[in-house]
Amino acid sequence: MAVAHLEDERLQQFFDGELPPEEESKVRQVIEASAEERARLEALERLRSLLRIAAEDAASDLDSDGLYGRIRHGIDHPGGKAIEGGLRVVGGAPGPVEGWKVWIPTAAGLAVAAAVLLAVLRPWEGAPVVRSPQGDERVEVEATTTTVIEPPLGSEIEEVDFGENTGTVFAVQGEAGEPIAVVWIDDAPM
Amino acid sequence: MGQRTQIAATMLVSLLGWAGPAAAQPARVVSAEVLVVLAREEAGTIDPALASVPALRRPPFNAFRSMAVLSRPTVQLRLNTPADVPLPNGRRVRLMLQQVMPDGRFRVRVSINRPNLADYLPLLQVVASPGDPFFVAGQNHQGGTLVIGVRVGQRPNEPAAAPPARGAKRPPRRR
Repeated sequence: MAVAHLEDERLQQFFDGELPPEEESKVRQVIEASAEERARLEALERLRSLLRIAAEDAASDLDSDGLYGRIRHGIDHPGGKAIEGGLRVVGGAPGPVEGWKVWIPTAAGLAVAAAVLLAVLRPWEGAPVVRSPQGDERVEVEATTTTVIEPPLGSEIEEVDFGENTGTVFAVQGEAGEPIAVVWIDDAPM
Repeated sequence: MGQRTQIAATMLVSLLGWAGPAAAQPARVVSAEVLVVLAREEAGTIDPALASVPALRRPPFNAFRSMAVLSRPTVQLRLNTPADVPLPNGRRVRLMLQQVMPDGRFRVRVSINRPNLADYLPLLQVVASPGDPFFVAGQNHQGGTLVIGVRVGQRPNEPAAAPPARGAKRPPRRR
């Protein structure tokens, strides 16, 4: 039996909880019927978690002092070739993996992972593309900050069935101005 | 270059493999507080316990000049499992946690009925942020109007605590 393929945007809206209930129910059925769609949804969940983890690790776990010390150690390692300012470039055949050779790829790997995830989750639409005098295309990216996305405040009515009664749906302002849903039933005296 | 690339790739693969099972799973049991208030237009007192519910001081609720908290039970909601809370008029309000949405909000189904009778309020589906209430009001009771407030979960950074005793003041919540 052929299973409908979900568009990326639709799957993303489902993941973000933005679909109306009926639509969400349909998408859920498609996902439950398709291992491929489940895998795509799980991938979105992993990507979001990975983005958070990568950002936290990059901010807190990176031992910059230790990294600097290892880089200095590598620069000062005997056998290097002197360049201006007394710095040396380590040359020759690769030896045993030194500490900085692990740290730099690690940091680079985290940065790449974060960049890939950002590109997948939030495509940088509209990022200015500039062309250098040499003709290289580069994307200008401003300094980024980690943003914790919180759910919108308040409550909202999605569906109501008053049955044999009548009623009204409206919202009042909460403490911070958020909408607080109210269902008012026009009750006949008992 | 090749060695560094391998190390970086290994780190990425490890990170991805580790992040999968560690992905945050939504809570499957959520606490919900049901606030049952009897409101009257006659002059009287506003229950001090309602000081932490600013929505009840806004129109149209501010037309009531007396409010008394009749009950304030807390129930544990499990996904797709109904939980009933009795109302003072013999009816019961039924809550069912339908979904914990990816952004942390709760989709809840509510109905009000009396056992063995036709539903009074057959269906109400609400999406609410953790700790933010919604209200079902309008039932006549003892010359007043029942106002039922439901809060599902707790706002972030709000300390988990037992529901306050009737009449107890709670600190205002800020974000």
